Amino acid sequence: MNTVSITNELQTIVDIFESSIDNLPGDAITKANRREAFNKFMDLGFPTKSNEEYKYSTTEKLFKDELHWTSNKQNKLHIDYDFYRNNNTDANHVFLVNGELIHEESELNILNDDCFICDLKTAATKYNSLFEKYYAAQIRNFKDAFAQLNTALASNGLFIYIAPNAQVQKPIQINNICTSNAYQMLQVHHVIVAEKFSNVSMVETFFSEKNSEAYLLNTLSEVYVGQNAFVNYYKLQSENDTAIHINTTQVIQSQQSHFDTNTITLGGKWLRNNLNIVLNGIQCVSHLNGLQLLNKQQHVDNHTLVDHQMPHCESNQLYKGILKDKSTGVFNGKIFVRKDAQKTNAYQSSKNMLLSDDATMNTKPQLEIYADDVKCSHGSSTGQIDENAVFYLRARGISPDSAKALLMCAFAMDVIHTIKIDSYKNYLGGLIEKCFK
Amino acid sequence: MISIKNLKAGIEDKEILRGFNLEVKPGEVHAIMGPNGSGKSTLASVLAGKEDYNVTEGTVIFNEKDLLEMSAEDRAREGLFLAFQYPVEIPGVSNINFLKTALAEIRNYKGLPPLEAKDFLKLVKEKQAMVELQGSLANRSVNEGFSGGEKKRNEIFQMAMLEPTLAILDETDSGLDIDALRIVANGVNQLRNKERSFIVITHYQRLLDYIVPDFVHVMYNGQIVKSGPKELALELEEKGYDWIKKEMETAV
Repeated sequence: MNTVSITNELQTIVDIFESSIDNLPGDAITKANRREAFNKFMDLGFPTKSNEEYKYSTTEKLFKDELHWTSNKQNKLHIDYDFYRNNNTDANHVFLVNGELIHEESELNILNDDCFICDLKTAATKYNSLFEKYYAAQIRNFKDAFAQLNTALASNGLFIYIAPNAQVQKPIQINNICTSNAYQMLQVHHVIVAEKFSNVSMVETFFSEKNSEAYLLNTLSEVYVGQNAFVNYYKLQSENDTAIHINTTQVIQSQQSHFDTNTITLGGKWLRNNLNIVLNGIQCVSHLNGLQLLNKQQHVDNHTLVDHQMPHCESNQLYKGILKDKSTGVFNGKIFVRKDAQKTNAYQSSKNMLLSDDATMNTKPQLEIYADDVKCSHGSSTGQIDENAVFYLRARGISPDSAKALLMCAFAMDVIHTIKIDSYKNYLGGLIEKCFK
Repeated sequence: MISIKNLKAGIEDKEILRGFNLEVKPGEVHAIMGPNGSGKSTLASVLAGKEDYNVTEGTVIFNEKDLLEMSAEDRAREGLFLAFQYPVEIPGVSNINFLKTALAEIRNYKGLPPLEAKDFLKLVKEKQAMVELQGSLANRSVNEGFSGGEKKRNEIFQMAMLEPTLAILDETDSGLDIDALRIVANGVNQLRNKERSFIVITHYQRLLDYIVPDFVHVMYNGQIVKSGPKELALELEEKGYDWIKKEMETAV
């Protein structure tokens, strides 16, 4: 087992990369892409305070402990898969333990033989041309060290392919279960391709297995939404108090496509979500919603980037947070409207509730508009619970605690209501109610 | 029912109630009138348990219990109801869920199990009809986007659901057109009985044409300065409050 202390040990990472590159999925072309990504990672280095994009989420302290550089295969047999299956969405469940696909527990036949779900290794051999075409294609120009490192080193993850015109009725639920017996770094990389006129809904959950030690999970999803395709991709992060999670989602939409995403963060120690959507065709629609319920010393940073490149597209963002104790949150929403993207509608809203004097929320909208016939707006508010509303409820016999729970639940449910999978929506509703009890 | 003696209360350093006395017996309707700033709404807030106000002196005995010792929610559970002058909008909390929670907590306080869903919905339907409130309003968020009239009707609807023993109506008539006023008054009249008492706070005599009080009190400078039968309201309507103010000044 290689052990590496990251701060000044980039050399160790080089050694790991050089020694593992031959065994990573993909042929010569992919390997060249991996090397390119690795070189970019080396140039970028792990982000420091001086990196504007990581201003509120410094990474130095993440690497105070020694990281172990392997994937852990222990314990996976003891996982109660049915617990995750039954308590959750009515869906085709796919299980990944530390990123590794558990075939015997997963439902991989999703519609017909034209559509498939497999791990990266299988994709690299069995569907080589698709793999070459899509793996890492969106990451090239992305100046983010974690994304580049993931692309260079990921050996685990899924390749989901939805053929043209395929209508996948049942949602696919990707259950990530992480379990670590030391401070491990895990790289998981998904490629999701929804071809033109297809339709698919996915839920991706992140849980830490009971008794898991700390880990650093670096996940990346590359999503391709073809012409007139409809894709829903919902995420739930509910990890333990020691988990560190960097989650990057890179989406490119073709004309007249729809993409909906919703990131719910309920647990974890330090999380960073990068969500980047490129609207690369006319009349695309994207909805980006998020909810974070934080307590203790949790830190969650949501960075969104919507790049309107073509005319007549619409994007909507609603991010909400409820922060307790000493938790900290960040919402950074960037919207580009390029010169050609006339008739763009782009909206963004960030609303937060701080329940303690020690909680902190940083919000930063960034709109860069180069077209002259567009509608764009952003709004952000951070406040406390409405005491007049609490009194009104108390005056009807409701205790202060349940009054506050009702109000917080209502605030949070706004985001849940945008979800289009009923069983998942109900499941989340229950989880959130429990958070306030 | 309720016995208020020498009540003195204010906000921060400002004294607003300056020795307020009132005795309300079961089944009685008392109207409290008075010019702006006389302390009418403060009285309502203090009785409902709003913590922004400090009570410095006096006693309030409600159904043989010390009201001032109770939290706002316990006052409601003991049967006190305040129909707010400005009902609060609560986005995302449906009227139904709100009332279900309120009713369950009140019943729990009294040692009763929550109502069966079926019985609860039956009750909602029945009481909604009383204030001519549309079914769709019950499913909407509490007061959100309601017109002024709908908000006040919603207060009376809540009152009908919670069946208090003492209801304080704080300027329920303000902002109501004549039709809404009639509906609201009609709802209140249906709830009048031998056990239930009302304190109706209003500026104008108009409401008292519909909700006929047993007693009318005039409040000025944080005290009741004149009391009389329902005809006093008519006299006030005719002469205005200056008459009372002058009487007060000459008395001093």
